[in-house]
Amino acid sequence: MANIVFHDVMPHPLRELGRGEDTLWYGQHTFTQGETYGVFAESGRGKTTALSLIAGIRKDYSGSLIIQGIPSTNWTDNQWSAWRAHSLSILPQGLCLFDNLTALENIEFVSSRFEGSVSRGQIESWAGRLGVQSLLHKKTSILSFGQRQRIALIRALSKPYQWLLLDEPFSHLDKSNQAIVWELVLDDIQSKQAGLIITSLDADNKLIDLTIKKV
Amino acid sequence: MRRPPFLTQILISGLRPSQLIMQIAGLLFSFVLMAIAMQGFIDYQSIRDSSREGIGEDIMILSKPVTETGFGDDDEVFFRSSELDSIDSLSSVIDVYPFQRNLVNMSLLIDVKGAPIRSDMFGVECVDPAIIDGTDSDWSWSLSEDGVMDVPILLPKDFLRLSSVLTSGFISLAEDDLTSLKLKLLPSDSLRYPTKASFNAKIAGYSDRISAVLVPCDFLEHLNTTFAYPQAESDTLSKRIAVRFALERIVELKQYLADYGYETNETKLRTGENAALFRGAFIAVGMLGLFVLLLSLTGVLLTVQLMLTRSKNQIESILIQGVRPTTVLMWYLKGLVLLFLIVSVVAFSVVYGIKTIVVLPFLDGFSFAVEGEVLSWKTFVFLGLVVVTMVAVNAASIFVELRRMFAR
Repeated sequence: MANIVFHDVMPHPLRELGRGEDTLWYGQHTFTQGETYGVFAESGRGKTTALSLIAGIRKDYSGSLIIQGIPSTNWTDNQWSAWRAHSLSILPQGLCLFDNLTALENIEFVSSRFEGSVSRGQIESWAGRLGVQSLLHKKTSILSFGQRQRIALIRALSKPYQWLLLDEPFSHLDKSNQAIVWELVLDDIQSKQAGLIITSLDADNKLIDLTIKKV
Repeated sequence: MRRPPFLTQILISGLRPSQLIMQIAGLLFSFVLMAIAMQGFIDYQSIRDSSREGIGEDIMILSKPVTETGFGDDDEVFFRSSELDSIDSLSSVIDVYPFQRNLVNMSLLIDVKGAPIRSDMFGVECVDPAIIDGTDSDWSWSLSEDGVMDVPILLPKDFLRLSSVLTSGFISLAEDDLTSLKLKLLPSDSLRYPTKASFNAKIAGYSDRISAVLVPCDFLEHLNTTFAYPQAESDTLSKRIAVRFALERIVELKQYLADYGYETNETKLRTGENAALFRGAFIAVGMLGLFVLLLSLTGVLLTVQLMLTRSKNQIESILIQGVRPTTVLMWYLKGLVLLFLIVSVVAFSVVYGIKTIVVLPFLDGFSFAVEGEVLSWKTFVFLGLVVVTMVAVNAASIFVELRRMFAR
């Protein structure tokens, strides 16, 4: 199991804020593969930073971050690359879509390079569920943020993963679309027996059961 | 894992076509200059090496300046061994050949179609055969038991014109005429040997290089030991020396001659200066090529850095999606290698064209020829090393930049 353990982890930029005893930055917190977790807090408390630490995008922290039973402090670039490639799928807050590609090309850029990725038909099916099928062949630069968010989610789900990291995935979705997205995410992580870590400003969003982590 | 599709479309979005075109033009210019300089230098070496005497070197005759105060003063008239060593130590000097001179007065008797011409103002010298040109005949003399063999003599080419003056202009001699004339060398009367002796001589050839009458050293030694007074110390010293020197280092030699007041043929100095300029031109082209190459290398580095900076978000996004940094690195390297290969091929084609269409037809009119291939393998190797260096430097730069992206 690809569990993730935070042990007295404190990102350097957040040291001035101190460690709240009921937050992720205090003591030990274990994220178990197959479970779903929500990381909630107001802006500037380190939600995105927490996901970045897990993805190896940032390394400026003290404490110990243990991934798959191995302290990640001494991981090489290749180990981080392999972790991101085979075990993680990320929907970043900034979405990371390429504006000169169409929505479908953005999705296939990721899905086409991994064995076990979903088929074109599956992608179209998901796009249909999320109401963006007609946008698949349009450049993402002309889409609204909400539409782009759904395209980026399909991209994140299209590859195999053990952990799905979603950084404020509902920020530009209405309630009905949020429910559709949740349902899709839930179906996918269950089928892949994957873990989910989702960040949000809204701790009261109870569409699915989450183990709450505050930061 | 397969290489993701659309990678090129994503990364190329950080490029600006106009900037890329300027960069390629600069690279091409520098590669052409470098190839011209390298190939030119190789051809220059080829010409120098293939020439019998070597166009990169020449021989000049040095003599002490004739001054009033020098008359009778051995140091002012003769080359001392310390002077020879000093000249020989110059980097421009390949070898030094002292002339031996006759210590006995000599006369030359020429039978011109029954009209004998006698010249008493006559001297002979000998020098190492290594610097003798103008004759293919046996350059030796020995005193045999059954008689005295003819003495081969080598005349300066100017002697033909001088002979017209000697004969007061009423006889004009062609080279063949003079060669067939009967010549006699006459050591003058001396107290020791009052009896006249004479040696039949034959003209072995005419030299561009010398300005005196040369005889084999065996003959000169016989003359000096047989007909001269016992030798003083100065009798073993030379008044003139031949110097084989590297044309391309003529400036050093010229300065030395000026400093010590030695006299020589000014034409030789000018020829040497031309050769030095010729070589200097290749160095200048090479230096210019190197300078432009460094500018281009810097330009390429900056362009790659700029591309990485402009594409930073795209690259980060790619890496976050699980693409390995080496995949991105290889994409840039493949592009750079392709670019350098195209530029190299075009540069080689340009230089090949210049040499085939301009240089080789131009050199047809000269006595020397450029040997070897139109483009030497050394030029290919040299530019290959340049390409490898540029790719390596850029690869290191990209690698460092990729590592820095997630180094926080």
